Amino acid sequence: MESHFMKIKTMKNLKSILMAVAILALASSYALAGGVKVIANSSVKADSVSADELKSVFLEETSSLRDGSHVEPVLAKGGAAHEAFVKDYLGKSDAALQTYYRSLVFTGKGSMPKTVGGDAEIAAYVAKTKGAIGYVSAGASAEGTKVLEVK
Amino acid sequence: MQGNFKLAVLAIVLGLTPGLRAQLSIPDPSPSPHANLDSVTLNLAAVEDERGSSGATAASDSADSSASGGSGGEKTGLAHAFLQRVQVHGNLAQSVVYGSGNNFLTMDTNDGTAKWTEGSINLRTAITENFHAGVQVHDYMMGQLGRGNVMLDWAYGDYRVKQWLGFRGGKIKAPMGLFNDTSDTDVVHNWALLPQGFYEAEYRSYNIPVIGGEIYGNVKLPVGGEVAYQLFGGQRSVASNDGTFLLTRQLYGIVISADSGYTYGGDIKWRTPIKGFTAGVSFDNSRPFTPHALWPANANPYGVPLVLRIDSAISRQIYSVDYQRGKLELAAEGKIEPHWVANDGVPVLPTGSWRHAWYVMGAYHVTGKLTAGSYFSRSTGTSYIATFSWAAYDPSNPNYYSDDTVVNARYDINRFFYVKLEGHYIDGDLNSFFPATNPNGLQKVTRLGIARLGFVF
Repeated sequence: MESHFMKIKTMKNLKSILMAVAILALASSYALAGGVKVIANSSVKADSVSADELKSVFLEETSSLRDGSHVEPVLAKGGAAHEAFVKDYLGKSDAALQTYYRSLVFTGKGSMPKTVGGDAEIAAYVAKTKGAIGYVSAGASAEGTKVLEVK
Repeated sequence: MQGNFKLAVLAIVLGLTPGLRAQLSIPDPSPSPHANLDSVTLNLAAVEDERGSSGATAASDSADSSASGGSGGEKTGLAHAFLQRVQVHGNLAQSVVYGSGNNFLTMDTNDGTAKWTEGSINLRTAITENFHAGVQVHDYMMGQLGRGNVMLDWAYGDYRVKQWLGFRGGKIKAPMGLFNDTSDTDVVHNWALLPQGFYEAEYRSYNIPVIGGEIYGNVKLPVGGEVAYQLFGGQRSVASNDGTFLLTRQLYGIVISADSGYTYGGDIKWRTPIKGFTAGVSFDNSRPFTPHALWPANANPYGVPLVLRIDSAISRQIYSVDYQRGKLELAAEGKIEPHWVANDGVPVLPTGSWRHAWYVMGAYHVTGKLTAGSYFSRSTGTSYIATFSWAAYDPSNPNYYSDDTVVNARYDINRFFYVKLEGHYIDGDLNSFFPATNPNGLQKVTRLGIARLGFVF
């Protein structure tokens, strides 16, 4: 009998843990989505992009999305949105990312991507540049650009 | 490569039959003065308006220019579109090295030396969305090595068909292990000196470039993660200012002016589902051939001038793991490198000749500008440079191993300048010591301090 109650208690504990994990996952997902938004020039046909695609584009492993849209990344020189994007979507620190790009440049396997000052500059650049894809803080204005949902 | 030549000579001593030709004159090449690279910043990827239909430029930090407007017609427009996609980058590094024990890498390190300068400049452009082309030249002075011979480091066209398939052709850089293709690019490393059992600074001209082609791509795996592959083939050559010829001449008096042969290999890296963790394997097989090596009578044990034909086979396997998470970077590699050597087509080396190496390294980005790290590297091998003889591998003899314990700090002053400070405690003599700068023989322990100032744009 005692064993039966123990099982029920264990099950309840397990459910609580799973619930907590789910809430944490949702919270972290919200935080990720809430930290930055990914924007693209209106020439980009896609309305959404997968996290893997986004990573491949910013690591210069591909220059097109699945729908065939040609894209080229633009990055901020620094700031909270930049740090969050680099860490959450590219899995690197800013220093490691710079090293990565320099490795591409000095082996001929890639180019240094366009970098601009911050949210306003990225939004302005993306708005006027065909194929450009970038990111800004979630609360920043991105007028003239298309916000891509990251799946 | 070092092992290859040592083994080759060893093999000849052991196995030579004196069916040999005479006549020889031994040139004594005097090095040309070193030419320092001037750093030139060019920025052609400037104009952001009126771009063509093919997309955004990928230039860094462009300064606006209005070099070509609409008045030049279609031809000017095309040139403009081309030029605005050109990027030019370069780097220059100057080191000061001071140590005790053995002089290192042909430098007089025991007296302190500043004779270690490296630089490169490159240009790359997008010809179409998927087709890129570029070129880089590199020059270095490292004691008696390099010294003003500007080398074509890479020059190739790169056509990426899909994410999983691309082609490169021209002079490429062989992707071996974690760092081979960047081992002559100081700015991308925390370290002033990479583990010498893997990335020998004195044999770069042979280890890095391949004239040929490469197939590459990234493939997602159903089991998780992604594989990045590069398969290459072509020809390797030893440059005249490389350490290979110098070492062979200093050790044995053998004068070699050309050594080249076919090579093929590949590098496969699995970006595992564990965030930041990559595992990889690289391999290559090379067949360097020296058709005409001159060995004067006063330098060989037979007392007659000889002309040698040294044919070698070298294969390398490198196993790598790399973990990057946040501010932490960890890496480890292991290498297996068996050798085969023949003279005039007859295998003469004992089977089982090899070089092995492994290392573990770690670095931590203390701040955005400061990185501190350490590595330990061990190399062992059946060949050694201290004597002109062959003996069984003896792990207790410092001529057969090299253990390098390294501490390092790098500080990035700003986007353009950085400094490195690095200390080495090297136990053993297997790697990177040359006889001419160590005329009294080799000591067991070498201590080195390296200070470096680097510039990049």
